[in-house]
Amino acid sequence: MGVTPEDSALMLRYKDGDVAAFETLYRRHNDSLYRYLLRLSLNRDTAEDVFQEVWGKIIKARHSYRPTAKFTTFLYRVAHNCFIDYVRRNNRHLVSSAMDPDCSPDPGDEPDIKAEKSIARERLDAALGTLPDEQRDVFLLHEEAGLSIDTIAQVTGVNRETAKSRLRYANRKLKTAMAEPAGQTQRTA
Amino acid sequence: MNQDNDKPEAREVDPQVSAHYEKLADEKTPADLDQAVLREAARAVRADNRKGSFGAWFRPVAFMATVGLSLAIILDLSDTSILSPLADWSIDAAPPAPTLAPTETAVDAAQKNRAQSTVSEMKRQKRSVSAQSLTVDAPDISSDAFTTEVERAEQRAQEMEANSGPGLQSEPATAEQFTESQAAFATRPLSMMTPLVCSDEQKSDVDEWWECVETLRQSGLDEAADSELESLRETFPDFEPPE
Repeated sequence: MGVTPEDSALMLRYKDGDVAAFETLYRRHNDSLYRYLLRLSLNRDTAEDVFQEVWGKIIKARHSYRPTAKFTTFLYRVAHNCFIDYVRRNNRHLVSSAMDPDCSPDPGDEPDIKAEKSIARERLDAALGTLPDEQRDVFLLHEEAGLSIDTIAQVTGVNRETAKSRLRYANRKLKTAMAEPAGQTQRTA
Repeated sequence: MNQDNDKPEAREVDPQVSAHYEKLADEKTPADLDQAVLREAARAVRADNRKGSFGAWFRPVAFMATVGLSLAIILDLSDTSILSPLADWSIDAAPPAPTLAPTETAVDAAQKNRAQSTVSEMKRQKRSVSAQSLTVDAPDISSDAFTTEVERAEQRAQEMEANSGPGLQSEPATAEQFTESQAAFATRPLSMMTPLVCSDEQKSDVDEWWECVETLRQSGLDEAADSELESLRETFPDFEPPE
């Protein structure tokens, strides 16, 4: 079995002109980044715009890229900042109604499962929509990017304790929101 | 999905919430969005390659052009710095000295000038004295012929004086001056005719050179004498003229 190259190694290869290395790197992170932006903005169009902007910046930064931190940290720091800039530029308030309920391209689900899933996802998105922006951001960075608290603090520009408390409160509220329609949508993992 | 499983996070994270989220959050990036990003990544690399290939040949060409231009400028400056030789270096040492042909001596030049003066004078005399038949011959520039010619001119001048009218009053003065100078010149033996420059043999010895200078000065050729004296002093800096 071949050794899976690390993200930073792929980025350095892309810096040297290896487009295939970039595609490998992109395929690793595109979905999680998309979901992060989708649920952070709660708006598909906003998510797609920011998504393209983030990767554009990554591509432009290839010449100056230095593997001083994990590529994931670098990627989500760029994504976080791009989202904040986008919101400031467009002065848009996050609207939770622009999420497409049928966005899951999973062809394997049967219609009733799809419907159930769709309902559950709607409830999750609704619960996430009730969170303050900072708590939702921290929660999504933890769940989608898999970043540690220290890294989340670094990405969001807050201290460790603030990041920790935001994550704690986000989880508590989501758990409460998930528990409200008791026994109906909650499934065991 | 979690890459970092820090234990302190267990208090902040609810596993059920994480599991629930992981099960539901399965959206994929739209295909057109994927294509757009990958196209942009490939385009960026192609742009880099274009710049690189341009620089690959541009730099050597620019370097060669710079070298060629520098060489052309240097060669051009070298050509202009080579001054065309002066017509006669020796003239600088003796400013008003007459220009002589290399093989011609001062004697020949003087003889030529004077003979020509004699001829023109004779022609004038012939025009004014219609009765006289003056033979205008191109004077021979050899010394003997010149002496003979001068004597002949002198004789004619004397004859004209005896026969001249008012129209010829001015003639005798000119003729007289001419006669006196030519006579003075003609009385000198050929061997003592003074050249305008000292010979190389004279210049090889400081004393002989000094004698040559003195001779020039005595002959009235002060400018030539000064020029020779200056050259002598340059060649023999320690020389001091005897008082």
